Amino acid sequence: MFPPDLSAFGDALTALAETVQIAFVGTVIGFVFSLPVSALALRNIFPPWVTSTVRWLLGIVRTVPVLFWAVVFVIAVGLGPLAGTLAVAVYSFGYLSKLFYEAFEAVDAEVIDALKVTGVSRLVLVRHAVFSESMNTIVSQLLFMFEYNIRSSAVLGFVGAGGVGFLMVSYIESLSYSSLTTVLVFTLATVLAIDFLSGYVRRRFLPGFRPASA
Amino acid sequence: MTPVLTIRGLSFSYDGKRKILNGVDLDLNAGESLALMGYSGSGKTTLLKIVAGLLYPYEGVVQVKAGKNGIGYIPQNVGLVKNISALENVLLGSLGRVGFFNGLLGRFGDEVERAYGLLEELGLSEHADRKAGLLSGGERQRVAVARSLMQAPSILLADEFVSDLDVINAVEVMKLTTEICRRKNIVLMMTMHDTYLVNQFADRVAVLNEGKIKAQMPAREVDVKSLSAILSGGKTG
Ligand SMILES: Nc1ncnc2c1ncn2[C@@H]1O[C@H](COP(=O)(O)OP(=O)(O)OP(=O)(O)O)[C@@H](O)[C@H]1O
Ligand SMILES: [Mg+2]
Repeated sequence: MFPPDLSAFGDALTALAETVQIAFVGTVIGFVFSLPVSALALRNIFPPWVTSTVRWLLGIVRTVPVLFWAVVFVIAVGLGPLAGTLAVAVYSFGYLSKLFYEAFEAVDAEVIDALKVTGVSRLVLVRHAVFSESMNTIVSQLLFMFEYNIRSSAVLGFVGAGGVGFLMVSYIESLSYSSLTTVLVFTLATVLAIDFLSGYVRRRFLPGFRPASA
Repeated sequence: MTPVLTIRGLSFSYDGKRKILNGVDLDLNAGESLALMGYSGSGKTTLLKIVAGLLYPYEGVVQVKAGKNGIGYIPQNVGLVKNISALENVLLGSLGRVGFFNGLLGRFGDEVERAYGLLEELGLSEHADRKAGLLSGGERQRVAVARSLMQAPSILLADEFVSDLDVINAVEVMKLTTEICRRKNIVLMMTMHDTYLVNQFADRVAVLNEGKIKAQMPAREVDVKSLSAILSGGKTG
């Protein structure tokens, strides 16, 4: 495996960029859908039949691991990064929704009461009472999800769903272990860099705020 | 006098077993400020929430003569959104007035000027842009009052809204609030513990005990002795 084969540098970089894109776009899509849906799980705003149905569906989505979603989407839309992105999106959606509605439920019930009497509609109530109150948690958990997705996107290529994993598999199959080392080192460096970056964002914008671990 | 609020035979239970309220009869007249007193756990907050329309179902009659969104409610711990400014919190009080899309987009139009006006009336002008979570207890209470007044309510329900304040601050907040309510012809219904503040700032007292209004009297007649006599079951009416 040593020394690393530096001629694999270019391929590694391209594949890693794809992995980061998969993680980023997937996280964003998951986020966009999880915000409204997690609000529907709030028992102090929506009726029980809505909240229980939503919670039940989210529970099912969450039990499915991201690699399984990747296989499903490879079958559905074919090999490549689109399948990976959709897998990450669905997985993030399930996970973020749960993290969000738990955070939302911790929102001061008195805030909701005080605004209910103004005659506000439920959607506007959610926007002002729930989202504003939880903004720090939302940002923090979004960062956490992105970090997590970078890691999981790296292996999506094993099942053909795009990104750097695909390169790893092909180097293993062709016994190009020196090239594999290059890819692994760069993957590790990327993961660390992203962790560092989101750590910086956290310290800079969310001082004194600890994320709920998942 | 025209009653603004009429309550008859109101009973309520959270769990369907224990009745927190068990036949409450109470009137609230125009221009009046009523203090609701009673032991901790006697159901004062519960009663206010029912009047505010936040708790149901209940038995009995609760009749409110107030316009659309005409009931303001200040919860026991005021319920401000902590990470937005005092001004933004006050503006939330007019969410029912600005319409759905403006509300969703946070566009408040002329309401902004009203909000500034109320903040000024309550001596909060210089705190308008400070985060609500960073305000002192007394400042928070006043922001909550301003938020309720944005609704232009006919009735303001205030749940122990000065209990956490030192007496100087409590007097100041009570004074400001009762004066504004008198001027704007808003009926006040407050739950309170402190007999001194009740003497100073309420017109009438209703004592809640064992699910009923056990006694009503002019606020200036209330002292600790008469209260404990009522609560121990000695004197009624
Ligand atoms: N959501 C709830 N579910 C079940 N029981 C409740 C709930 N809220 C209050 N209770 C119970 O109802 C009773 C009355 O509570 P309430 O808060 O109305 O009392 P209170 O007079 O406002 O007391 P305090 O002076 O301490 O604020 C208490 O025994 C309380 O434990
Ligand atoms: Mg109470």
